[in-house]
Amino acid sequence: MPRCTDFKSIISIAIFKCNARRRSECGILLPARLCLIVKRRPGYSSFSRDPYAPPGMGCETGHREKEYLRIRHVLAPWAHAQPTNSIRGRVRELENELIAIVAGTRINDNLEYTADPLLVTFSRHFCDAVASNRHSASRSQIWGGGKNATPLGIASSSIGRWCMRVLYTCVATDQPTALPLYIQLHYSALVFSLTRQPRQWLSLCAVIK
Amino acid sequence: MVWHTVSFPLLSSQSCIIQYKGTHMALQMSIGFLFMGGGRASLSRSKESIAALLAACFPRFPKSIDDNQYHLQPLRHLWVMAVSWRGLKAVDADTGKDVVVPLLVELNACVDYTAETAHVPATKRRIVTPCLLPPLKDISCVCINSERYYPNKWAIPRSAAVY
Repeated sequence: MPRCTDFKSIISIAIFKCNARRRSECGILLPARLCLIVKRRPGYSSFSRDPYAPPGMGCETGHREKEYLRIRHVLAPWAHAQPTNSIRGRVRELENELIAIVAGTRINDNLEYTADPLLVTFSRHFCDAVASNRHSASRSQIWGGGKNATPLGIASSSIGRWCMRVLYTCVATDQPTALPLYIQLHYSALVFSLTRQPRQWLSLCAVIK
Repeated sequence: MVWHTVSFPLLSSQSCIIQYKGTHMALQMSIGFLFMGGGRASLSRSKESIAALLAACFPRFPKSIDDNQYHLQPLRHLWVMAVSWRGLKAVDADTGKDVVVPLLVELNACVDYTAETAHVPATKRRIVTPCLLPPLKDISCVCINSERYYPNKWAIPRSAAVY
């Protein structure tokens, strides 16, 4: 009986030949790790950062969990074409919740619904002042309205809400380029109000609202 | 007689006395099969792989390190030929980090090892990455089953699903 060391080289050569034959049959070199590159939709959070995500999402997720995902986990209600009446209220709550999260007014929420730097910067500088009246009063000066006299004729706190609505629309429709357009429209409204052109000002206010 | 130190306290207790090298070998092989490739690999089901596993797991383990009387010890390494890397992970294109993504795996019609449930037919399986895929030769396509990610579908070519 030969010793073990005599067989080790034979076995290793056999394994190498077998692997080479398999690879030649496959035509490709199979990767050691299969990897899928996925891209998250804007307005959605990943499961790992979703506070409503179930801790143990098993392999066999049935329709019950899918409905649960539809109602609670997806923080983007615009994805649903026709929400039913039963969940419409919940969708509205999620809409307000998403606005607050994107705007950064909620503490300890580092959810990333969008990676666009323009939207992120806009949310940080203009939409996080709603919770604080002091900040909103100071930032309303940026928009030219002052505390009680805004170009749209609304209160200064509404400027922050208007910014959040604009931000929400841009995130929801995945159109960050629309944000400068909204800002230009707002600036035009401001100019019309300052130059005392009521007709153009009213029409533009209606468009912006 | 070769005595090995077992790192598992339960195995080294008085009620479970391990004396032979074959016992250690069987235990270490079973642990290796269980955590094969760090959970990213599994055993193939092809005929060649089954033959390699039969040669590797022949139930006649040696008594000592130079015991080649009934089974050649180098043949214990043949289980390597049955390894297939089926570990699947999903990477976010924006962040580059591993993410949890629900997937829907469509199997071939000839596959009969899955049980049909109330909501999922037998030819489809819902999995969540990171996970182990079924044998690649049984998969027809893999698609994303989540609204949070852009829909995509990967078809497994026949040439790539040999083992």
